[in-house]
Amino acid sequence: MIKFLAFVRKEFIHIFRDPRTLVILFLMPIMLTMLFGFAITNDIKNARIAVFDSAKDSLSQGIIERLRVSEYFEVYEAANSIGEADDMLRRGEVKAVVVFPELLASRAAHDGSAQIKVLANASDPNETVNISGYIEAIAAQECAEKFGTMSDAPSITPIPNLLYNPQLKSAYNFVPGVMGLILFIICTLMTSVGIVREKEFGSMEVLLVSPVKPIYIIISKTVPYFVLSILIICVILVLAHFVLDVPIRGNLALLFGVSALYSLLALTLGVLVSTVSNTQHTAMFISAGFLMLPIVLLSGMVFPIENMPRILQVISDFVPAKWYISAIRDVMLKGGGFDLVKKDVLIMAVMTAACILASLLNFKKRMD
Amino acid sequence: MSDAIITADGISKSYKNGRGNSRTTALDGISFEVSEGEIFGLIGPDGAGKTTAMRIITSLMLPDAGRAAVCGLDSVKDYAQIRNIVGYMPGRFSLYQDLSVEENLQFFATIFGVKVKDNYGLIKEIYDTLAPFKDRRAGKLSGGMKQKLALCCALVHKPRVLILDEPTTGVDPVSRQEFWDSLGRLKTQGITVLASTPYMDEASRCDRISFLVKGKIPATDAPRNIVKGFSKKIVHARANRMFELLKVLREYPEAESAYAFGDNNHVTLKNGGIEELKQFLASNGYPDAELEYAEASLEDCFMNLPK
Repeated sequence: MIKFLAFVRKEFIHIFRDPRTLVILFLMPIMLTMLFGFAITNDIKNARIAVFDSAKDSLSQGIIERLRVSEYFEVYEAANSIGEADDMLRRGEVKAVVVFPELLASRAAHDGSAQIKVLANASDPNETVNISGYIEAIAAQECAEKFGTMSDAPSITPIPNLLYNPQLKSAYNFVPGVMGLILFIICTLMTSVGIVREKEFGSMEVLLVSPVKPIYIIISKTVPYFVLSILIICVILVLAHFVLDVPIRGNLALLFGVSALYSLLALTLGVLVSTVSNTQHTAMFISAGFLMLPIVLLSGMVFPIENMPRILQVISDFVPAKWYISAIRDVMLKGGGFDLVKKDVLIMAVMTAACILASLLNFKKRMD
Repeated sequence: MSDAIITADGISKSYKNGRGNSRTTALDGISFEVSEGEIFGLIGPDGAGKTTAMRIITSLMLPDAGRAAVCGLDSVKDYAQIRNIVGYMPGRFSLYQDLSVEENLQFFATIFGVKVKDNYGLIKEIYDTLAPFKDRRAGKLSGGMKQKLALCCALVHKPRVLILDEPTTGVDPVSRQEFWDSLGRLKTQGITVLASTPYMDEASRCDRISFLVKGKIPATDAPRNIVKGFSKKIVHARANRMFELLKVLREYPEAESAYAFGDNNHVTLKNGGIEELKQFLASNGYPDAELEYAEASLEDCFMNLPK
């Protein structure tokens, strides 16, 4: 045990004395999270919108006038047909089109409520939600002025109609993706390179000619990265929640449990990579090229898997991050319990066991 | 047989060449024995198979044929026990560059299950010269100091056998001297040393040596005996144009070998003496060549090993 601790201590020294490692460990998660996070802006200011007014009554004109003077919007043009409005949206000239149905004012007066449509480009769903919110507020002001503020005053509800991305892939989804990517980089890439470095520098030769069992050498390599990855999950979650306002709805313990399992899987994958490579370059190449790229492309982090060709969908089943990201989305964003992620957890556990087995079969207690 | 600490018995080893089926033979049935408390040298040029031999003895590699034993423990079967009694220092500097001198020593002490102070007497003399730099990172040490530190780390658990693979390659001449002085002192503490080196001056500091050439051992004996057993005449030749002279010397039919060493060309004669050689050189444009008999050195023995 003392020997084991000596190893772990040595690994921590390696990590903390190498500035490059530190940058990867601590700066990169923060940078990636912020980068993906701030790709969505929450502030609406002078958003260009178009209006298509079929009602042409006092209520619709009043709302349009309010939109025009509001600092949030810039009414770009009045569309003459729904087709024209759609074109403007498609060309990216406007972010949303507000459609007023015929007889808006009389409907509002008779039924006590009316609906206006907000057509928006859902590739940025967050913004769309915000725009709808602002329009609702402005419409409410106009109603209040026309009909008074009594409780039975008619209300106008904007119905967002999202185009081009009906699955509503929210940018929130990037946070689980970033977690999957970062944990993988730390656990698989750093561990495999760390183990192979010992081979390359020849220190493995000395360690093998010591009474320490090789398996302990390997486990001691993984412990520091495991500890650090848990730490980094905390950092990302804090950033995501308090800086980016990403909701954390599920059970925190479950979230960490799933993350720990994924880290373990990534670590064993790193050990496996180290058993098949003899130089740091090979290890880096396998980890980064062979394993990391699929995470970005095939895990559902960036591109929805459902839209992929069948063959890529099958391949994606073997990408560990796919299951992790799906589990984290379920827990973090949907607030699901263990039942919802049972399948993901099981698959990751099986993958971990397979990696451990393959590593054991591959590990050499000698040099040739 | 029984008092041998290290036994190599007909060890062969070959490596695969790339993807092809051809194999390069690294060791071709070598045998030698190292007795308790001696400094044994494995002497040979680069690529002779020294490192392979050491890795097989330390149980890091499996021999294709033959067997190696340390203290009677088989290097294949009893590898775990061998790893407890051997101190091994590989050819490359293989300590942790980003750990300090002291941290390296502590680390290796711990993994061998001892405390630095347990066997401090053994390394004291060597470590004392490193002590002023104990907080320096190992990667920032000079070549000689790195080797001293590596030696300390290999000795910290008081091994019975110390196995050193080219310990002085890349080290300055003074540090090399000091290094071999240290080995001499270790010997008096009862540690058996097996070291490999390509340098002949270091070979002469061993109690016994084996020449290792192209995976074979053509001679094993005390350096003194090897020199004594050399029966041919050695002539040192000097002239103005040494390189051209060497070419002419190689043409001399009675020369067994001729090679440049230091200020001299060394010629080994098969037959005849200095007079015949003088005549040959005079008729080939070197009437003024200075010739003299000399005692054979280890180099001479090495260069004239039976082919």
